[in-house]
Order: sequence, then C-alpha cells, then structure tokens
Amino acid sequence: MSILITLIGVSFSLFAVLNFIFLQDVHSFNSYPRTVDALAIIALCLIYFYNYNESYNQTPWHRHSSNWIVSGLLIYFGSSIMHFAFLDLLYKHATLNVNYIFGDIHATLVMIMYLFIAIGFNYAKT
Amino acid sequence: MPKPNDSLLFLLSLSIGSVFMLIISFILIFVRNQNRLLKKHAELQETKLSHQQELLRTVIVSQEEERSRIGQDLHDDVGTALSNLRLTIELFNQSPATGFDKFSAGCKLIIDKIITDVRHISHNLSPPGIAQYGFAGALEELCELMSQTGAIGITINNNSPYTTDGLVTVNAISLYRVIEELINNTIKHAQATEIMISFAEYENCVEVLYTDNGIGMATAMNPAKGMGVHNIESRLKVINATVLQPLLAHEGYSFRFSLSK
Repeated sequence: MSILITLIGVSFSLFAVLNFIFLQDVHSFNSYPRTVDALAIIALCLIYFYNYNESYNQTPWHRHSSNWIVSGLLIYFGSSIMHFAFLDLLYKHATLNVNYIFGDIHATLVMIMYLFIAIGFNYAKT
Repeated sequence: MPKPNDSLLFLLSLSIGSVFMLIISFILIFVRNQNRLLKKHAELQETKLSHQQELLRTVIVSQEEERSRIGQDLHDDVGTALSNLRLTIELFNQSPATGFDKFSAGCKLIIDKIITDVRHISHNLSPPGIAQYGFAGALEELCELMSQTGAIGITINNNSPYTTDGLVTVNAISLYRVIEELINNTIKHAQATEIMISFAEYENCVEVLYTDNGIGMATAMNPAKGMGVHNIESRLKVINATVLQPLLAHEGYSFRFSLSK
C-alpha cells in the first residue's frame, strides 16, 4: 500500500511539473492536475473502503475515526471533480456570478469535508 | 468556441449534485451493510456461546447421572449381596449345625454374584471389548448384545480400515458411546425393527451413517433436543467430528457425521 502511495505521489508531482511546463500555463488554473489528484484520492478512498469491508471489525462503523475522514475526502473530491475539470474554462469564459456560485458550492463541499474530519478527530480522541 | 453561459452552470451543478448524492448513498449503504454484518456476527457469537453452555451443562448433568447410576448399582447390587453374605456368615455362626458344605456353597454363590455385578459395573464404565478387539470388535459385540432379544436386527457395514485399526482409544470409546446412545434412542423411541450402521472411508475423513426403519425423529420426539442428542453432540465435538445433514429421503431416523482422521 505504501509503495502505491509513493508511486502516486512521485508520478503526480512529475505530472504537475510537466503540466505547467508543457500544457497549462502557471498563470491559468491547473485544472488537469487537480482532476487527476482528485481521481487518485477517490481511488485511495475506495481502496480504503474495500479493505475495511474485507477486514474483521468488532466496533460499529461510526466509531472508527478514519471512516469519517475518508468519507469526508470522498465527498469533497468526488463531488468537486467536475468543478476542478472545468475550473480553467469557467474562470476564462463564465460570468463572475457563475464563478461566485461555483465558489459557494465548492466552499460548502469543503465545509462538509472538514466537518467529517472534525467528527473523525473527535472519535480519534477517545 | 461559444462563450459558456448559464446552461454550463446548470449542467455543472447537475453533475456535482448527482455525484454528491451518489457518494452519500454509497456511504449510507456501506454503513448500513457494515452495521448489519456486525449485528449478524454478534448474533452468531451469542448462539455459539449459548450452544456451548448447553453442551457444558449436558456434560455436567450426564456426569452426575453417571455417578448416581454407579452409586445406585454399587448400593443395590454389590451392597445388597455383601449384606446377604454377612447375614449368611452370621447365621452360620449362630447355628453351625446346618453344615459347612451348604454354607460354603451359599457363600460362593453370593461371591460369584458380587464378582458378576462388579464386572458389569466396570464394563459399563469402560467398554471391555475396545482394549481387546478394537472399536469394530467392541461394536459388533454391542450389536449382538442389543439384538439378543430378537426384537431388533442390527447390521454393520464397515468399509473403513481406519475405524477398525486406526482409532485411538479415547476416540474409539467416544464413538462407541455415541453409537450406543443412538441404538438406545432407537430402542426407546423409534419402534424400529432394523438398524443399519455404515462406515465409509474417504481421503481425510470417515463418514458414519446410522439409520433405522422406525417412526423417525419428527414424530418420535418433540423438536427440542433431548439430553441424549446433546450428549452425542458433545461427544462428537470432543473427537473432532462434524454432524452432517440427515438423509432427507429416508423415512425412519437417520444420523450422519464425519470423523476427521
């Protein structure tokens, strides 16, 4: 698992550098790396849930702090992957109002993620 | 490229909303499923625990029953015979005129009875044939003994060299007791005339099938398991045997278990 994470980390960093050199200018939104990074995080979250399902758990689901944290990450990155993909396009072509609306949606999703992470920390405390 | 307008806003919010709902439903279903699994597991644990307690109770109760039976046997047979002997000696001392020969014959008779009683009790405690002839020999002896009255015929179909030679004594005694209990149950409840016991050997287990042509379990007993059945189960558990599904097509009683080698 740690090899997979290292591999994702290294190849993603490489991709991000290549992206701003060859594909997207540093002065525009980096929509390609953000989408790829959201995909990688979603995949890792799903692997986590798969492993959790396969393992033998004696305590209820909600008592595991990592369940809450991973759910938060999955909700945020899963829901905003479309937003990330169209980020540059929106910035360049959509009206300011549309950008504000998506900014609000994004902020709401971030809030939900942090709420889940907070609940996770709360369970990790005990 | 056309300038994106409010339709992009609509499509993008739609996709964000649907992915959000999908993820929320995924998490909810996952949590529900996990909790259900946990609940089922807890139930299974509880059933296992109560079954184990029931088996333990049966072991204790049957041990006590066995003790009281031995006590009763000793008291009723050996105790009575010894009192009888004492009385005979007392009578002889009071009036030696009755003749020594008669006294000696009477005493010998009583002592022989005591010896027979003690032998019976000790044979009941541990089956005598197992040490001498092995499990198969002891079982044949038991079946001959049980079918002596002529009311019931017992056929043994032993195709397993393992049960004939390979069983260690502890397992042999348990297996012997299980079959003894099954035969006892048939005689007591089943109104059967034929019993068939067969042993089939496989690569790593021996399958034992016990059948009779009686009225079957459903009509003979209430669904609650009797003490005998619990006894059988705990004995089989001790020798690492697994109870198998009984024969469904068979009309009388059938009991199947597999003994791992």
